[in-house]
Amino acid sequence: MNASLRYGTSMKRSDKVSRYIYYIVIGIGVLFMLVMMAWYVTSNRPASTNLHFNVFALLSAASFISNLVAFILISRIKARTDVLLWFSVFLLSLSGWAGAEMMLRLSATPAGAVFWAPLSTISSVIMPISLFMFALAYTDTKRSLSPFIFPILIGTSSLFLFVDARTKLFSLYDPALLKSSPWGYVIETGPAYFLLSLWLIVLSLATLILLVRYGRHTIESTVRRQTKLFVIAIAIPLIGGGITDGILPSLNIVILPPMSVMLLTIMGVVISYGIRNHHFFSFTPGLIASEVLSTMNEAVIGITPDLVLSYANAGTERLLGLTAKNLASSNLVDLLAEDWTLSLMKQKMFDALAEQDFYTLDSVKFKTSFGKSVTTKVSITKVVGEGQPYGYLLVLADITAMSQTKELVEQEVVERTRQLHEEQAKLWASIDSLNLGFALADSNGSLVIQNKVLAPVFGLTGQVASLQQLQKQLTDVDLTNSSKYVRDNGRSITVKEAGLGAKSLRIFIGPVGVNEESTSHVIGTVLLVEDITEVKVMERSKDEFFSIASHELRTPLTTIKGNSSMILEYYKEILKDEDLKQMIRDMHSSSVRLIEIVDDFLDMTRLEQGKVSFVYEPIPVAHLVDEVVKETKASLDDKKLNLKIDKNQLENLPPVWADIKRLKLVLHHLISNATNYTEKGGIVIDAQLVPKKDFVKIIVTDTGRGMKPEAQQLLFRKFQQAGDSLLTRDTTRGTGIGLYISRMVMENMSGKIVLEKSALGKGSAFSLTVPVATANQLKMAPKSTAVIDSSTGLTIAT
Amino acid sequence: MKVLIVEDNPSVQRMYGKALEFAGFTVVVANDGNVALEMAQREKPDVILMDVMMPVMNGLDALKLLKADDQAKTIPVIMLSAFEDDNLVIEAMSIGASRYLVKSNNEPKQIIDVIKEVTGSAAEPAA
Repeated sequence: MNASLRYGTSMKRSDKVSRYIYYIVIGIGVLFMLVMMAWYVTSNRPASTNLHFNVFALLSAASFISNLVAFILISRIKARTDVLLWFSVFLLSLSGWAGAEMMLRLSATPAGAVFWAPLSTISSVIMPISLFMFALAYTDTKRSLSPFIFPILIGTSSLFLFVDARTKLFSLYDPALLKSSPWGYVIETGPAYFLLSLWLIVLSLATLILLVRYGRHTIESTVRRQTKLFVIAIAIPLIGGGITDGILPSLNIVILPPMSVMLLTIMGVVISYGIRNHHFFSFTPGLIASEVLSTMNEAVIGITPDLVLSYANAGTERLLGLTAKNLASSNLVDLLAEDWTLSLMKQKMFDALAEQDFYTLDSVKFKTSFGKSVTTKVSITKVVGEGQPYGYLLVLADITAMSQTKELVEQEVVERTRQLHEEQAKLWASIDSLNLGFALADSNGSLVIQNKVLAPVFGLTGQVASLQQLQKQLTDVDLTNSSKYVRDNGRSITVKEAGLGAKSLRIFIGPVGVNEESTSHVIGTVLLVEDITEVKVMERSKDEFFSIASHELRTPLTTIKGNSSMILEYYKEILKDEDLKQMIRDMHSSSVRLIEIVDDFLDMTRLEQGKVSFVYEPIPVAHLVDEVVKETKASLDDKKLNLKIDKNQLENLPPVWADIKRLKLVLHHLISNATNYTEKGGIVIDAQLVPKKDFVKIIVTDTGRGMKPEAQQLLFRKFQQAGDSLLTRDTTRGTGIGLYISRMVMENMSGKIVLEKSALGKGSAFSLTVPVATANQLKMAPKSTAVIDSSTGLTIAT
Repeated sequence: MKVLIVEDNPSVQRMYGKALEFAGFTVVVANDGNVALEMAQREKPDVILMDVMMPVMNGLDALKLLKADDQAKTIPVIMLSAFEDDNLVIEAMSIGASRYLVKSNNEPKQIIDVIKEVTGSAAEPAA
């Protein structure tokens, strides 16, 4: 409350002074009333003040006590606003009135009644004044602190009381003229009593009007509610009390006891309750305004129309480091750190206010006591009250930090932009140095971005405008439709080979998406184009090399093999020399072995290149094992090795889904290996469903030499054998690619080949895992007869 | 029975020629597909052994022309190649070859068995 804008022109110090004057005026007024009452009581004290009990006196007693209690409660509230002050006076006057009325009703003699009655009148005159002052303060009309209103009111009331005491115009304080009623003696009213009533009613009505108007205009809902409560609370005693204490007595009709005090007591209790329990007055706009003004960070400065400072809030001290004393009566221009003259300042800051009430300057520098300056954003409001310009209100917000931040942000933006450009340059350099054509196309097919390689790859020069332009160069690819597909489905497409004259291109088309929250949508396509002409040529020559190698190696070998076998067949007569016969046999077997090796290499290469096509069919496991065993039986028998197969178990397994030719080769290889590396004992072929029942595992176990753990690691790798070193060859033949080929074959058929276990000197166990043919696959299997060419092993559907 | 061997490699020609002679067949030889067509019409062989990779005209092209020729199309043709290629096999079979054999996988004697099988004859060599 040490800073208030109600005066508009008041500085803190002068505000305090005016408040003191105000309290003194009130104090004098109250003192004057008390003196008058004392004078009255001492000068008119009757000889006999005998009392007698009257039931109606209890009502007055209740009012007397409840108002006293309410007064004590209200005065204990910490916030000492003028609103509370006036309300306390109101409660006190009510209490006095009720006390006097109680004594009047208890009076046993007319003399006693005549003594107490004027006291009641005095209180009843003060009561509406305090209520009116309360309403003025509460509605914040700036007049409650006026040094004139209260003295005028109290003066008028005193005049009335003086007239009342000295003449018989209002009340006839004559013991002889008293009327007796059930509620004690009633004072006869004089001819002008209505004037007194009118005065009270006018004040009460004025109070009501103030509150009603205020309640209508306020926008704060709590204040509106509480005002409504006041209005209702005041209206009840005004109407009720006006009848019982004003109208009826002035007409000299004695049918109702005076009820004002009682009704007013109800009102006082209601309002006190509201004040105590609902913190009514914590919400008065004046309180809020002063609280905000003293706690806000912005400096608020009030200046007179001559631009001299008249008010500054606590924020001003904090911002400028100046005390109220320093600031008092200085001109605004003295506070500025700008190089402005008074007239320039007026022009810059106040000219605009001739047209409008509010004006903002984004950056004005003010001096601070620390010898520095502070940059502020200044909002200037023209304060006009009752048609008179009070001056201006300036709100200064410190934007020094903000402008520094802004500067930092600007630097940051510059730096980031530079980085971005750098990144962009790097990106472009990368894209341009790509050996690929690169382009980004929007949904219309226009090329948004492209690198330097794009045009030449398509045999064009300069910038390419659109996908359509690229399309013209291509014959066997629909670029526009493919792009549309990519955009619509969000999936990429690779055109493996697109012909462009003698050139071959590989074109990748991918979606360019934008993520927006959870969903992403495709806005265009990215195009990567590779000239694969060279690659294709290389590939072709590689293919050709293998064809030639295959042909050129096998043809002479075939001749050696064929001729040697024919010599052995048709020239038995000549081959009587056993040595010669053995030599021819060795030639024959060596050529057979060489052909096998060439075949293995070709197989391996084609598997690696993915050029082997697999022909799938359901294969009964028993049949498969049977076929392979037939082929390998001879070499087993040669070494006198046992072979153990549980045929029943094999019969019970479901057919597997594989390429029979390839699967037979792999199994053949496993059994041959087992045979080769086993000197005594035998081989066990076993098969079982693996736990989930969708694979069959065929296990070939031998009692051979086994492998060291480190050798086991290298199995299934290219050119690896389980031997100790390159020079310590296995006694058996081998190039070391058999298991490698087997692994590739099995993996191609969704199966696998695994070394189950191996122990040096005890033997090894390998397994093949092959998928079981599904019901669908069994259905799909060709019903037509298949010719298996026994010589080529190829299956040809006829 | 007369067999036309279409083969460009002389040692292979000799080898199969000898094997067939030993088995009692009459052998005529063509060096390439072009010559083979001419000889097929002139010599009217009972069966043709056709290499695939040859100069002037390759075996597949020759096979196509043979199968397009009204007179020659009834002569069974056994493709005999150094290539082991699934696509080649399928192509040759679809054009009308009776068999596709890979040279290195078959001994001369086995080829004779296939010839007998294809011609359906119990091999009654001319005395």
